[in-house]
Amino acid sequence: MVEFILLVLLALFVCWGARTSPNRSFSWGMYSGSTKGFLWTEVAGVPRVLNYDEVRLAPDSHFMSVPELRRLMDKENQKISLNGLIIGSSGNWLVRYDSDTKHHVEKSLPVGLELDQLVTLLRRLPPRQ
Amino acid sequence: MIIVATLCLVLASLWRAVSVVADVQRIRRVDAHQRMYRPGLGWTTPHELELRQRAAWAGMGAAIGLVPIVVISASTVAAAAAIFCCGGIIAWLLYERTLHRARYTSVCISILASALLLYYAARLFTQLPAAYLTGMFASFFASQLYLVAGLRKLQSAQFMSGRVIVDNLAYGLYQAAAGNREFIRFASPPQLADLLASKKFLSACRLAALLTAALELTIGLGALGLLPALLVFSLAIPSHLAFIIVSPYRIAPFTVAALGLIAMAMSHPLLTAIL
Repeated sequence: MVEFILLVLLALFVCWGARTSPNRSFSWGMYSGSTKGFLWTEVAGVPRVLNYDEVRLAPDSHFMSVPELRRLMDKENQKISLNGLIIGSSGNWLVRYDSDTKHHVEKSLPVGLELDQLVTLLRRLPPRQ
Repeated sequence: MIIVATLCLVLASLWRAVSVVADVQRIRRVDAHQRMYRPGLGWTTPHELELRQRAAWAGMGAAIGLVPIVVISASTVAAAAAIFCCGGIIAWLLYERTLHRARYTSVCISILASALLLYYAARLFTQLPAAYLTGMFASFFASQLYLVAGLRKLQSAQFMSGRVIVDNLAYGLYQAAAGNREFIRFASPPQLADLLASKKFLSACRLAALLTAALELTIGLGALGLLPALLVFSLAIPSHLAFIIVSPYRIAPFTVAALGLIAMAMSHPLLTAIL
């Protein structure tokens, strides 16, 4: 009898876990999507991948969206110029933040073009940096 | 199985605690004001980093305290110490979630610690069959973990298109190109470009996504007792090792904790009592 009750509870728990937000503190449902930020800078027309330390991202930061990048690039980080390609569940974006002019551009990419943009960027990167 | 699960808990907790301490120390080394940005959580503060580090040291102490218990688990003192250490790990992870949004890793380690705490408490304070109770407990939560993981992936159009796998692999290789040692550098940027431009690679990732969701659902049903233990392990171990390729440093504690939970679940699965 106890086992049957546990099975019913498990079914309810699974249904709830499949619908709950993975962003909750201590969530019982793991992520099934992703949004990634490919950030780089250009020196004399040559791209270079930015590492976490340069943009002051904490070491365990594995996702990025446009609103998060805006917060990252607020007054704390105005000394850095960067380009970025945001790809994933929050949409696909090409972004540019210019530290000299304080100008920033966020351009939405049509679905399907984001991988082409990433391929183009990767082909421009040196094999080793 | 209890010894295997205890070893998994020790390893997963230690790895997680060491990574927290390493993160805090790196932030302090990179930025004099200890202010670095965490997407979804905002800027770090020196006070918060200090609290996280202290809590992680406590978690590490609790995990190390479990090591001798693996050897002398039969004694009453060992059972009492195990209850204290498992409780310490749970308390650390519950506190950690107030400072840093818990990853699923923390949830999985907490469940494993709770299962072991239940085992040692039942053995010490009751006449109930401790291994049977713990197996049922682990089976319940391991099934939930894998069934939910599989269902969520099936519901996600992005995942089922293979793009989550593509994006994560690309991101890891991109970061590795910048010298990030958390990721394995098995292709250079030009080689990654060739991969991403290949339709075969994208199709392989779509197939991998479908297989991942199917495997997780199968392991979830297996953890209930619907499949033989050997089959469940032969599915779980390779699939978890494959996940590690995406982000070895961060995923390893989850992998170890999940395998420890499955080991406990398969000792007395929930449905064996009914079937």
